[in-house]
Amino acid sequence: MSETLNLRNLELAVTTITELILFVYLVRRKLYRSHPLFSAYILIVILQNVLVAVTYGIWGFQSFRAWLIYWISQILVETARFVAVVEVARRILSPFSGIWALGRRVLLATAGGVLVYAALLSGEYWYKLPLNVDRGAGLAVAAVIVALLLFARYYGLPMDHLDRSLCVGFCLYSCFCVINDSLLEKWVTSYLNFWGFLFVLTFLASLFLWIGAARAYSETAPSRVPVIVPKELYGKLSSELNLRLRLLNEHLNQLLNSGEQR
Amino acid sequence: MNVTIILFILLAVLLLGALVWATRPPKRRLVSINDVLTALSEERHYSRLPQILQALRPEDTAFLRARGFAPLRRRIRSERGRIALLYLDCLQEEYEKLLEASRVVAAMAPELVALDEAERFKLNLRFALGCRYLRWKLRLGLEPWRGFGLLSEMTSGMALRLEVATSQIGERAALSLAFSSILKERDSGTR
Repeated sequence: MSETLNLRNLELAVTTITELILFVYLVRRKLYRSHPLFSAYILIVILQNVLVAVTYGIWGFQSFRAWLIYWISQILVETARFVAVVEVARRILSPFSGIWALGRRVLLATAGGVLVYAALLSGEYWYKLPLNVDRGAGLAVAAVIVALLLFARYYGLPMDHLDRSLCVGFCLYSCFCVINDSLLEKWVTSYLNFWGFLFVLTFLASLFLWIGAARAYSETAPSRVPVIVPKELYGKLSSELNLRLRLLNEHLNQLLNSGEQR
Repeated sequence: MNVTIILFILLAVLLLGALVWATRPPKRRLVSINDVLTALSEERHYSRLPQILQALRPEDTAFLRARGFAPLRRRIRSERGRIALLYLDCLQEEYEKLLEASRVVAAMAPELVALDEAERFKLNLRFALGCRYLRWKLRLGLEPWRGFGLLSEMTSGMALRLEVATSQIGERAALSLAFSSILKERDSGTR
């Protein structure tokens, strides 16, 4: 029992130190200005670690109170994670108003659809509810990130290294959470310690990825400039495009008509 | 292990695979509207379609077999098939340029029509699959007439959609120009 508790404390200490390193980088590079919600997410995760460590110290790691406090704080962390992902999505898509208007609907529908799917497939035992919520949220975050990356790829949108790293980190962590939670559901008791270890390991991997991106970030790096075409040029350009396309269409129509006449 | 757990794990693994695919460096060549305009002004390949179709018809080389030149006929047909494959490459390249142009227009447009975008995405998938199917048909020496007709139709559809999008943008630009000139006139009148 005490060995398990020591291992838990060690895991908590390692993740908290890594999170603090990331947070220091976020503050030093002034990234809290461009990524306020992501910074808030990291801060919330640090506070959760402190709260969980205190709870385990007072009531023990297998008590109902510790279980309850952990999962209530986890809901807050999940919400913060989702909001941080929305922030990244907004940063990538919003410079392009048309794509952002469509993209946010697609991403919302993806998140909603995945949450409904997860809820329908989840078990009906009450003690599994937090686990199901965690898994559903993880799956939704991963699906939203993948949809966002595919969207950005399809339209060829620019994405800086930090945002890409945030996306990859969130998605990796969320996918491993889903796998982890699913395995835990099957082997609740025998898998518990190993689950905690894997959970920490995957989160640490994401943290290191983000630390690397935050370290590499420099204010002198060229900032994201959305494609802005002056209105006059815009009108000229569109009429030019129209002309080219009209010619192309006429050409095609002639070909199609000649094919029918055969 | 029950089905639910397998489904969740499978979905997570699929998402990981999609993540790897989505983070690959893009192969795009066209980046600016100038590149798109240049691409659109290049020579079109559609004008060669009737000749290609004619060359692929079995009747076009049937006389060679009737006169006892079966090996020559086979060689000619295989060479014509190779030319048709090259033509298909050009057609696909042209289609991709149009698609790229429509993406550039989408990035500049203040709003997108979701149904049009979804249809374009669907068309793109159909075109890619159609091209692959046609390539195999040509390699196997089968009649490709209907496939070519379908692909030309798709390219035409893409150009039409692009025209609608650009005309909408053009109208908006013209409206905003008119609006700004009205504002300027009003400002100078009040001074």
